[in-house]
Amino acid sequence: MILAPSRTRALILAAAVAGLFPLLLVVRLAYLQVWSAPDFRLRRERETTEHVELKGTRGLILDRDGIVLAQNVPAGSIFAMTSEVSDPGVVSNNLHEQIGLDRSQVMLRLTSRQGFVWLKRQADESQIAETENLHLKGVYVRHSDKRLYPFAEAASHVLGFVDVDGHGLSGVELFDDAQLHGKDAAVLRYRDSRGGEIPFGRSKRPAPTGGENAHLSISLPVQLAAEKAIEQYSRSVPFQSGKVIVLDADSGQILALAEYPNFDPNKFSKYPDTLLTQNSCVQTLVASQRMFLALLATTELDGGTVDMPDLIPSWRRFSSGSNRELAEILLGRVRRGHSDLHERFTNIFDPDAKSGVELPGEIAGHLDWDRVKPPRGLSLSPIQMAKAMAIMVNGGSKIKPTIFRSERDSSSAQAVRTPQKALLSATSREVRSLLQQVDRVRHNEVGVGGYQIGGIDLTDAHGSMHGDRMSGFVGFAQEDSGDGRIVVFAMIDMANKPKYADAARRIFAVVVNETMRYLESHPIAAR
Amino acid sequence: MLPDRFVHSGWGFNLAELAKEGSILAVIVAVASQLSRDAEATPIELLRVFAVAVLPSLLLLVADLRAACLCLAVSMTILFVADPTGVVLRSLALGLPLSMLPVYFVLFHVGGRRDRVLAFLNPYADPRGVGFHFIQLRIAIGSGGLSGSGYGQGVMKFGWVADPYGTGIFAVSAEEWGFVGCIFVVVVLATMLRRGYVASLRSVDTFGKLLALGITTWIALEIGLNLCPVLGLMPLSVLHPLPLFSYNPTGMIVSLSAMGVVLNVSSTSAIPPVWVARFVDSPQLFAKRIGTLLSLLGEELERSRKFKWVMYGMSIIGFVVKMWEKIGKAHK
Repeated sequence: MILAPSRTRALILAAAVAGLFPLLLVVRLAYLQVWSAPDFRLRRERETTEHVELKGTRGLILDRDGIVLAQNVPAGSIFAMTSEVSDPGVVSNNLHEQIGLDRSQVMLRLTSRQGFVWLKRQADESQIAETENLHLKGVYVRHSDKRLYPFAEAASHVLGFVDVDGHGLSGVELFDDAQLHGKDAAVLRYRDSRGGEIPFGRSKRPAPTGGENAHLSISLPVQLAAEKAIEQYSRSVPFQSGKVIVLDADSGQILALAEYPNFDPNKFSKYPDTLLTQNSCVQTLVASQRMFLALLATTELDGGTVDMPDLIPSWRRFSSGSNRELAEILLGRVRRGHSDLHERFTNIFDPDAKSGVELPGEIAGHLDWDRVKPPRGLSLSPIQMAKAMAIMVNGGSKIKPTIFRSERDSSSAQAVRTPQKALLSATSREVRSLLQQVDRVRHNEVGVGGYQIGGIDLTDAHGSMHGDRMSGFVGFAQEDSGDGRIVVFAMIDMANKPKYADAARRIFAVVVNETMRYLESHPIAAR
Repeated sequence: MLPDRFVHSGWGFNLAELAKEGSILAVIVAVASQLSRDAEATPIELLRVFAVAVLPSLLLLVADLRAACLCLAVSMTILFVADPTGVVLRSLALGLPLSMLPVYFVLFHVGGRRDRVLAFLNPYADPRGVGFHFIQLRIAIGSGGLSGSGYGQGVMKFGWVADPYGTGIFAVSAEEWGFVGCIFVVVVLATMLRRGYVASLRSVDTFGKLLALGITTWIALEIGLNLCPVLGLMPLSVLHPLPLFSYNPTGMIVSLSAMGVVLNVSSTSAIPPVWVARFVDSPQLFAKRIGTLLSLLGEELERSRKFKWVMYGMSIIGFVVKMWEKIGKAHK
């Protein structure tokens, strides 16, 4: 034997390997699994789990007759896990035509350092099918819904639009987003290191709740008629912008709210942000001396401080375009310090409060009583003007303009059932009679027959409104029986072309004709 | 050249792995055989021992650094026990520091190796780079807590822990079985090693004594080279599959064969091991039979004095196969 084995050394070795080494492991394990376990558990959860939102189906938006104005269609989003794409060049060559992107764009995304990249959000069904048929490794499809507005530009400023994640960004889509969106379900998902779902899930999967449908008070035929009226006029007379509001004077329901220029919410990304989010019917203020005088006259009539016979001569001249005589009577009283006039005016027309219409971004009017010379004293939004006209002609009841056909909360419904009186019925009758003077004087221009109509030309004799070259008209129409009473507000920004000052009156006439024709077959009272 | 399907067959058999593991086993047998020969401790004989213990390691060094270190460490351990005078050990101890200098240079002054080697000390310094796998292993083990997340309920095996059924099996088990399960595994492994050393101490012949000691130490080192990196106590560069646990069919065959040899030594020891009689079941009987066959083969080869050529042959095959594998990878 060359060497003799040492029993002592063998024992030392055995003790070290079979005794001390396991002890070292146990100490280390205790540190990791007992002492630091909560911290590591937290890290594991953070790393291997994610909350995935399961979206409920968004509610439809329908007009007052049940015509679908906004709906959902099957779509999907195409994405790539870049780590799984072995040859980005081949994938981008095969895919870019299917998803309608440049090859370089697809290539750029596939070669980015991010593990997950969207290639196309809200792709339509054909694009999804074509992509799936390609069976490209690392390219996946997530099926979802896409919002579709079948009438494209119709009522676009009312409807608004949604983003790619289905959240409302303007109009009713934004204002009523909570009800339309429904309730998403957040699911805890375990994922592997590449982001794929681990086959077993330990979280409950509550089903998402679909959103409620929104039944608007808008009538698609009236809305289209209003938009067509503006559009047709825009072909012969170039103007910057235009707006029309059609309001049921008794219920406050808005039958049409048209705005020019409008946009196609299906392709919202092609329009400037200012156009997409504006709704000048509720977001702009208009200062009209003639409107202020009409409202003051109504307040004075209601207070009994001015008699109807005294008012008629000056109102006739007012109707023919001259403000001077009526202004002297009414503004003289303001200057002489009739303090209760301010209070009564505010109680009836409430210019400093918002109208309450369910559209985002509404601003309130402004009344500066100390600045005695109108029109600078009063500024109202178009919807406030329409509301004021409705109070003047509907028997004196206060109304709240609404874009919805049915009230969404009980407090509003209660308010509708028991309308507050702002004016005496007699005053309203007298004001209606005064307003109809316009019809008699300018019957040819307004051009509506077969109904009682009346209104106020917001533009003065010089074709000017607050110094701007605008054309505006707010008026009412009602059947002889007293049913179907509507208020129509029309305004055109004429871009300083005074010869077209009657543009709003012409649009008013067209819209009233179309609306009254609609109401013959769809009376509001029957609803 | 060997076809690729022969080296990496579809059912998990790996010739390179067999050659590597077999080489280590062969070296153990050879060193034990050499030391137990009835010869005088002349310088020539000592040189032969040195050659048998170190040369295969140097040969393996070119192909597989980890296997070479393992081979050298096992040889040194056998010499540590079998050389009470310390003649061979001292001469090696003098040579080792010198040989460590190039190793130190290669590890700490070439490319980014230094960062990779030292990453286990503070993996959070580069959590997305060299520290990533250390962090994932710690998360897997630590999140198991006291009782684990339940059998089959671990999530870290889904791509977070690298090679979850191979080298990462202990981390996956730790997540699912917790501290209690890990202690059970460690106790089972420690008991197995203890029994190996007991068999060595009780063996009546020197060859069996050194053989059992070498094999047990080899298995212990492989266990250490798995558990220490997984637990963040050593660099991941030395990570080795956990014997008898990891999915490694070739390694499993070699490990079971080696355990069979130890069982054979144990059965021929002065005091029959009680646990063999008590815990014998089919796999162990199978392993024992294989071990007996290998042992008999070893003795036969030793008698015919051709064993060293077989050993060298296996090392050369291992070297060639590993190099061929490396060239193939580089070509890809």
